[in-house]
Amino acid sequence: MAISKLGGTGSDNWELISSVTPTAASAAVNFTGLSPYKKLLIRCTGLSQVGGTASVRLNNDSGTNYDWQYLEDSAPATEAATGDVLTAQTSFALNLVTKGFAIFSSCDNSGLKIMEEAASDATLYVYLANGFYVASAIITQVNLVSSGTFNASGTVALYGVK
Amino acid sequence: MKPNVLDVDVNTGQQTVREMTDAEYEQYLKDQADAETSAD
Repeated sequence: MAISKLGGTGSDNWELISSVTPTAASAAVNFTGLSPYKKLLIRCTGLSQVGGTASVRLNNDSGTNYDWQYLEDSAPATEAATGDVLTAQTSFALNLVTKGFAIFSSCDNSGLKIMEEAASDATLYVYLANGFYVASAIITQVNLVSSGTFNASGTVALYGVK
Repeated sequence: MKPNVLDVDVNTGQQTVREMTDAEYEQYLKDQADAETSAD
């Protein structure tokens, strides 16, 4: 179930823009026609994929405009995390299998868009990342893309702050 | 066969399922190759 409103007043009053279930055998969920939002949040719960993991793009941009650093741990209770610093990537790799979120700030202007994300799955895999989308365009699309295909389950919800 | 994508127009709420364009499919294959490289 999507959260209808994450609460708050003033500058961080998140509103639900849209909430959908991916289509069976689809490889992307594209939220289009966005008016300018200061912040955008995409939240995924209960997803199921075949042969891949999910990443996020902005404005359907697959250019090398995504810089971020991450830590990931497939067994937080017993193993140390690994990580890397990545530049000029073609998406924000959420490594999302079943659930995760990404928040984007400064989406309504031509400056850097700040990205913060986290993903996990039922086996306690944890992925944490933050970075920047370095293109200048105002955000009008948010794209959740799978390197495999989605099953028709779970929820992809998009929230925004005006 | 190219996968489908789900387009959601946030203004009208209309959801459209369509086949990937050739350009989207080319990028999809690149994404798969990148994912396989990262897993190595």
